[in-house]
Amino acid sequence: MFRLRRHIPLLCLVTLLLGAVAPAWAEGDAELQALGLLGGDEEQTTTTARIPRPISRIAENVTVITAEQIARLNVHTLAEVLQTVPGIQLSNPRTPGSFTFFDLQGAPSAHVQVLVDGIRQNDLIENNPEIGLIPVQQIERIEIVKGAASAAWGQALGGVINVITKSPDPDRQAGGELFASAGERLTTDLRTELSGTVGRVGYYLSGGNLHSDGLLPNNGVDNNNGHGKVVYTLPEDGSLTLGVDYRSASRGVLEWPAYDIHDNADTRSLNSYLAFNYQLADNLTLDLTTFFTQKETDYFGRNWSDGALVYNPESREKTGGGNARLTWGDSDYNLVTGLEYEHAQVTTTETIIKADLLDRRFDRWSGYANGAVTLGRFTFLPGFRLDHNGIGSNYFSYTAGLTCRLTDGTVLRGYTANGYSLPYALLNQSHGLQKVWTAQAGVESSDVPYLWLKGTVFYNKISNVEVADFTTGEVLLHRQVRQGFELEARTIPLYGLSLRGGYTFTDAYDHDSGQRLSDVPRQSAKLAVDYDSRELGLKGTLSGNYVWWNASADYQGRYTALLWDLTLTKRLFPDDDLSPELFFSVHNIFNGSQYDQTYYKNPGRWLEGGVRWRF
Amino acid sequence: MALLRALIFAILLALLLPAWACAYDVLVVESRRDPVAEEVLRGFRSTHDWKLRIIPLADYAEVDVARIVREDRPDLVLTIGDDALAATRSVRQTPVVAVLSLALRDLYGRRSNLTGVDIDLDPNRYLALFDALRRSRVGVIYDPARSGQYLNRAANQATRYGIDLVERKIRNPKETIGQLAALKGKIDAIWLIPDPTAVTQQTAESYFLFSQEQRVPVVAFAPVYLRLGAAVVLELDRYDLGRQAGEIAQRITRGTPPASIPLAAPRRFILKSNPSILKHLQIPAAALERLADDRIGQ
Repeated sequence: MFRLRRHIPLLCLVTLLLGAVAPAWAEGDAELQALGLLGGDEEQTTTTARIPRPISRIAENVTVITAEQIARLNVHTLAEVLQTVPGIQLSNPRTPGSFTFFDLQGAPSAHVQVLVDGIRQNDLIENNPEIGLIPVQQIERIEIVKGAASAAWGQALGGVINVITKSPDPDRQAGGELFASAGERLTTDLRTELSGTVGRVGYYLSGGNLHSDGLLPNNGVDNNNGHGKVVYTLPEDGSLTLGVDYRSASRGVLEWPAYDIHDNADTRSLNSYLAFNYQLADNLTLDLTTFFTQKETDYFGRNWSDGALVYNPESREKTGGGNARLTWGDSDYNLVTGLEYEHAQVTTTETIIKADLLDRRFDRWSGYANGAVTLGRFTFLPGFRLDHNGIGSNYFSYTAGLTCRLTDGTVLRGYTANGYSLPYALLNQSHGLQKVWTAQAGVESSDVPYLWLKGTVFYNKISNVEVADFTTGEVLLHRQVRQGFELEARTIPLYGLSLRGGYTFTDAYDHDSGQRLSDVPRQSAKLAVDYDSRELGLKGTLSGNYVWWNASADYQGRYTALLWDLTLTKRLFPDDDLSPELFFSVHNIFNGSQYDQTYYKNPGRWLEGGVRWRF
Repeated sequence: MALLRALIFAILLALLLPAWACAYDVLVVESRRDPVAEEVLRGFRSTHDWKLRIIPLADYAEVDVARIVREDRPDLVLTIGDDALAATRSVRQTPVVAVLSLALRDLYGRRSNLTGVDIDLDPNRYLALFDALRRSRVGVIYDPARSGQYLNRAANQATRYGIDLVERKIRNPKETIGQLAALKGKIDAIWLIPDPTAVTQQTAESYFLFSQEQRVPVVAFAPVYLRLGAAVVLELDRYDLGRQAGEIAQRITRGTPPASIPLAAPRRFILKSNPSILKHLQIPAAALERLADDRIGQ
C-alpha cells in the first residue's frame, strides 16, 4: 500500500492523459479557428527574454499564468498561485500571506529571481523573495522560467518569476473590481481596484488588506498593500509610466513551545519606478527606467513561556538605480541590449545586544545582449551578460538555445547556459557566487487530438553551494547536481470540463560524495479539474497537490497525503456583465498532512467564501 | 574590468545607432502569422504597389494600434481576423478594411470608417450546388442571432431553384444534436454554414454521423470538413479575398468614403470534394462539372 501511495502522482497523471475530450466553443479568432477558417491555436507570447516572443521561439521551459486563471482560483497571494504550478513547491504553505520558502525544480527560492514590473523582490541579505506578501489583484500575468536565466536577468541560477502588473483600462474612463472574502479564524481579504484612461493619462490603482488570526498557532497575518500605476502617452511616440507599490505586514512567524520559541516579524516595503518608453523607429524601441526601493524588517524573537523579547534584529535595505534597454526587431529577428546600474545599502542592527550585524553599501553594474534569429523551422537564441555584482567578482553568463517547429503544433526546444546567484548571506561574501551549468531539452505539442503536452528533461550542476554543518557551525561549500524531468498536460474542455496536471521528478545529489540530498522534493504532482459553464455562470476548480519531500528524518515531516482544494464561483446573473460573483472554497478537503518540518505544519481543512464585483 | 568597459562601450554604441523609419501606405494588422493570412496578403499586394507595415498581434504582448495609426498616419488599415479587427476599435478616422471576420457584419454601419469583405459566400453559390446534386430538401441549423439575415437571403433565393430549406434554429450548441435528430427523414442534404453556434468542434462530428446514418451529403465551407466526411466544400478563395480588399483600398485612396462602400461578398470559391464520400452516396462526380468555373475538383 505504501508503494502504491508513492505512485499516486504517476497514476493520476496517466489517468489525466487518457482523458481525451473534445474542444469547446470559443470567441473571436478562436471561433474562426474552430470553424476551420483560420489556422492553428494562437500562441502565447512571453517577455521572459526581455522581448515579446511567441512561446514556440523560447528555448527555456516557460509557464505563463494569466489574470483570468488567477481569478478562477480565488486565492490571495502570489504564493498560492505558484503552489498550483508544476515544478514549484512551497516549503511551508500555511495561513495565506504568511512567510514561505519554495523550490523550483529543486532550486531553493534564494536561487530564483522574483520580479514585479522589473523590480527585484529578493532581499539583499539572504536573496529570499517574499511571495506571500505579493497580492494577486494587481497581477496581469506571471511568466516563469524554470532553469538558469542569468544571461537575461542576472542572478537567476534556478529560474525567474516575472510578475507583470495590470495596465490602465484603455477603453473606459473608470472601471474596477471589489473583492471581499471571509474564512475560518477571521481570515478576511478586502481589496479593490480602479482603472481607466482619461485623455492621454491612464491609471491603475489597487489596495487591500489581508487579515487572519492564523490557521496555525502564532501564524496570524495583517497585511496591507497599495499599488498604483499612471501612464502618460506622450504626444510624440512614447509613454511615461510611474509605478508605486507599498506593502506592510505584521505576521506570526513561528511558535515552538518545546524550544520556548514564539517569533513574529513586521515588514514594510516600497517599490517605485519611473519608466520612459520611446519608439525610435519601426521595430526599434528605447526603454529607460529609474527605480528606488526600500525594505524594513523588524524581527521579534520572544520566549514562548514568558513573552520576553530575546532577539530583535532590525534590517533596513535601500536600492536605487536605473537601466537602459534597446529592443530591435520582430519575433523572427530581434536583439535586446541593455545596461543596468544599482546602488544598494543594507544594514542589520540587533537592538537587544545593541550591535551592528551588517552594514554594507555596494554598486552593481551589468550589460547584456540577447537575441533570436529565425530561419525556417529553426530559431537560434544566443545571449550573454556581464555582471559586476559589487561583492568582489564579475560574472559572465551565456545562453545558447535552439527551437525547432516540427509541425504547426509541435515544438522541440533546448538550451544550455550558465548562471549564478549571490551567496545566501552577505555575511559570507568570502564564499563567492553560487554557479550553475544547465542543459535542458523538451518538446511541446498540441498535435495529439484534444491534448496539449509538454515534457522537459533538465540537468543542473551547481558549484559553491553553501551547506551549513550544524555540528561545527561551519558553512561548507559543496557541488551538487539536480537533474530530472517534468511532464505537463492539459485537455481541451468537454461540456465545460477540462483536466490539467504536471509531474516533476528531481534527482538531487552531492556531486562529490554521490549522497542523495534530503529536503529537495523528489517527486511532485499537480492535478486539477476545471469546470466552466457560461450558461450557468458557474466556474470551479478542484486541484490536488502531491509532494515527496525526501526530508531529513530529524525534521519529522509528514507528506504522504495528496492535498485537495475546491473552489466554486457562481455569477448570479450569467448574462449580465455587471453581475456579482459569489465564491466558496474548501481548502485541504480531506484534512491531509503535507509538511517537511514539524514546526511548519500545513493547515487542516478550512473554509472560506466571498464575493467579487467587477464594474 | 577591461571586458566590462568594452561591453558597455559596445552597448552604448548600439544605443546611438541611427535607424530609418520607412513610410508606408497600409498598416496590416493580422491576428497571427498564418498561411491563410499570407494568402490574403498575397492577393492584396497584387492589386497595387502598396507599401505595407505588417503587425502580427500574436508576436507582441501589447500592441496599441490606435497609437501606431496616430503616429504613422497610414492611408488605411487592413485587418485580417477578428482579433485584428477588435484591435482597431479605437481607430476612428483612418479607414479600416476588414477581411476574414465574423464580427464585421455587426460592426459595419456602426463605424463610419469601416468596410471590407464579408465571410459568407453568396447563398446562390450553395443553392446552385444543391441543384446540381439534385437535392431539393436541404437541412440547415443556425443561430438566428448570428446567421438570421444570411438565411433570410438564402430562403428567398431557394425558391428560384425549387429547393426547400428545412431550417432549424438554435441558440446554444447543445441544441444541435436534438435539432439534427428532428431532421431525420425530412432532408436529402445538410448545409453547414459558418455559424459558430451551430458548428463547433464538439458538434461537428454529429453532422457527419447523421450524414452516414441517413446517407445524405454534407456541404460545408472549409476543407477541414472533407476529412470528417463532408461530400463537397466551397472554400473561400483567400487570394481573391485579398484582391477584393485591395480593390476596396484603392477606391478609398481615390477618395471614396468607406461608409459608402457596401460590404462585399466573396467573389470566388474553390470547390473541393471527397470522392470516396461521393461514391458512397452514389453521387456522380459529373454532377459537379456543371457548376461555375471557380472550382478545383479533387
